[in-house]
Parts: sequence; C-alpha cells; structure tokens
Amino acid sequence: MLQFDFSMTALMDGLKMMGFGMAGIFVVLTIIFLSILLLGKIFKVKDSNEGEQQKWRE
Amino acid sequence: MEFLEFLQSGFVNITWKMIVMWVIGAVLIYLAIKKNYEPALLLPMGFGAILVNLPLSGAITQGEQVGILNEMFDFGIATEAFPLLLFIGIGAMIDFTPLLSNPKMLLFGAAAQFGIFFTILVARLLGFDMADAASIGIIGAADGPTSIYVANMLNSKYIGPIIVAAYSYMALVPIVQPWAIKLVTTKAERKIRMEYSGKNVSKTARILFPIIVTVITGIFAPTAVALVGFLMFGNLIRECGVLDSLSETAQHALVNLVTLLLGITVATKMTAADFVTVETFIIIALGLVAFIFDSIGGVLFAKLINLFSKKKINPMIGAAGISAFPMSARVIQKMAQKEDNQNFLLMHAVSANVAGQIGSVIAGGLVLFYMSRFF
Repeated sequence: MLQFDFSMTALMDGLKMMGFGMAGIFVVLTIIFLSILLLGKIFKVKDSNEGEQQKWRE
Repeated sequence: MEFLEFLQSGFVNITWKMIVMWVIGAVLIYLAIKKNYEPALLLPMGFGAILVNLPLSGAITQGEQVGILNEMFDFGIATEAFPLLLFIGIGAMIDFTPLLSNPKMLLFGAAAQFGIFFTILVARLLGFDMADAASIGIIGAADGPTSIYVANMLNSKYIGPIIVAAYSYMALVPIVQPWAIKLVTTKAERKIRMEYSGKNVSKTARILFPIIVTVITGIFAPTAVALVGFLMFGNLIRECGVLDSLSETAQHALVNLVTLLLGITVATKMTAADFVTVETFIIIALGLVAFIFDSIGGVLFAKLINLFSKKKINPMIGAAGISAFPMSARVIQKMAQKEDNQNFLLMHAVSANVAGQIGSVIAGGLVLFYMSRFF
C-alpha cells in the first residue's frame, strides 16, 4: 500500500532528478543545436522552400 | 455433475475487479472506434483488457500453463524489441527539415520535458519509490514507446497503468493542451505572429543529422542511445533516398504490425488484481499532471526568451515541444487561428514538435542514466 512520503529525502531525490534531468536535456539539445548550425554552414542552405508549408498543412 | 462444475468454474471465478476491467476495456474500444483516439493501440489494448480478465483466461499464464500473451510479453516487451522496432517506424515518419531550417526550436524540445521531472518529484513525494516515480514521470514524454521502454528497464510494477495513461493522454492532447496553455498565456500573447522563412536544407545535412544526433546522444547519454539510435535509424532510411520501399514499409506495415502486437501484449499487465488499485488512479492523475506541466514548461520558456529577444515568439509554440507528434503542432495552429485567422504558426509548431520527439527520447535515456548512477 502506498504511503505518502513528504520527507526531506524524497524531496531531495525528486529535486536532484529534476535538476540533473533538465540540465542534461538542455546540454544535449544545445550540442545538437550547435551541430545543426554547423551542418548548415558546411552544407549551404539554398533558397526558400515553397512546398514545405503546404505539405504540413495537408 | 463434474461436467456442470466445469461449466460453472468460469462463473464462480468472476470477481468485481474483473468486471471493472471489462468496463475499462469497453471504454478503450469505444474511444478507439467512436472517438478515433489512437485506435491502433487503444483497440487492441481494450480487447486485451477483456481477454486477460476472463476467469481463468488461457491467454495468460495460469499456474503451470504458460499463456501466449506472457510469452509475447517476454520476447516483445521485456527485451524492449517492440518499442524499439516502433521507433524505427516513427523515425521513418518524421521529417526533420522544419527543425533543421529553424534549429533554435530545438530548445523547446528540452523545456517541454519539464512535466516529466516535476511529476517524478510529485510521485516521489506521494510515496512511490524512485524507480516507480521515474517510470510514472516518463508518461510526460508523451511518447508511448519511451514510456514502455523506461518503465520496463526500471522494472516498474505499474507498467500497465503507465502505458494506459501515456497513450490515453496522447489521444487527449487536443483537450489537455489548450486548457494548460490558456492557463499561462494572455489573449495578446496567443495572437503574436511569427514570420516563417522556410529554407531548403541540403540532402547531405538531412542524411548526416540522424547520424550526428545518434553519436552526440551516445557520447553524452549512453543509456538513451538505443532509443535515439532506432529513431534516427528509421529517419536515415527515410532520408537516404535509396531505400524508399523500406521507408514505406517502416512507416506503415512495421508500425501497424508492432503497434497491434504491442497493444494486445500490454494487456498482460492489465489483469484486474494488478490494475484495479488506488495506485492506478493516482498514476492516471499523475499522467495528467505530467502533460499539463510539459505544456506549461514549454510556454513559460518561450515567455522567458521573449524577455530578451526582439523578435517575439508566440508562447504557444513552447507547448508544441512535447512529443505528441504531429497532434500537438496541429493543436497550436488551431489555437492560433482561433485567436487570429491570419496567424500561421504551423511550421514553427512542427519544428518544436519534432524537437520534442528528440527531447523526450533523450529525457527517457537520461532518467535511466541517472537512475543507474545516483539512485
């Protein structure tokens, strides 16, 4: 049976996971973001993509 | 006389909890057929819920007699095969071009995972142990296969309710998200227009992207590499341009087949004795908390960026950073059009939404990583 646990240990467990988790995601996604920028620089983007918006609306 | 006893054995073994499960199964089937909510999954799950809760059901293990659904669970879910195969199909479905042409949207894919970690905290405070709390929080990944993968890896005893909650709320995104977004935005904010300058992305960049993401994730979050790797492998099949028929198969036949098997197999964890508990209802409620705080996290992050940016972002875009793809992007577009019928946010929302797909998978991997290291 579930027992409510408002202890400091439980709070610290949750906060630790939250802190590490959000920091970890931002770090990994920022690195991916930078790598996309780099890809864009190396493999030059050409012109405007006309069909793209229409494709997603459909 | 013995013959009569045999006929009666079914009746005498019916419990009220089984009847509750039949009703739950019927509701899932109703939602799938009448409301068209994730029918590919809810229908087999609904039918499976009835199937495994028939008295002395031969579909599941009874004493020495091993049931086929338990066998399927062992080779399909316990080994992680089904969720990972599903990821190949999902990867083949996703077009990352909008994200590659607007990469800053990637950050929303991170912010909108806030609900996962907030829910882990709440679940922990409610008395779940850390492994179960983490498994429950992952409902906020808004991504069924990730929820199954993480809950199974952490050996959570609540895998049944977690999967039901994950898929049910994914289907309910059009109801949950508008409410959560309106809670933290003003009408003026929802009317903010954003220019979209769609750019072509070179084929080489589109091919290299899944490989680079896999390598980066592998280096920084090794436990996420199976999830991300299969997702990105599917995407590579799509983008390489020489495997069109495989890409088609992955997007349709593979996804349909695995979803069907997954749905019916998950029912093994929906037996009345395990499912009809107070914990199940708490988990269903926590799933809602996760989805709401995902949306709120994304919106608040967009508002934070607006404090420092000249070009304002419509904060609703932040909410599209959850992984329910492409439903969340469509919800945002619909809301934007409701406020201002000349406001087209779809492409921005799609970018954030595919970023959410990556973010949620990485979040799942990070949770597993931290659980193995710190808890």
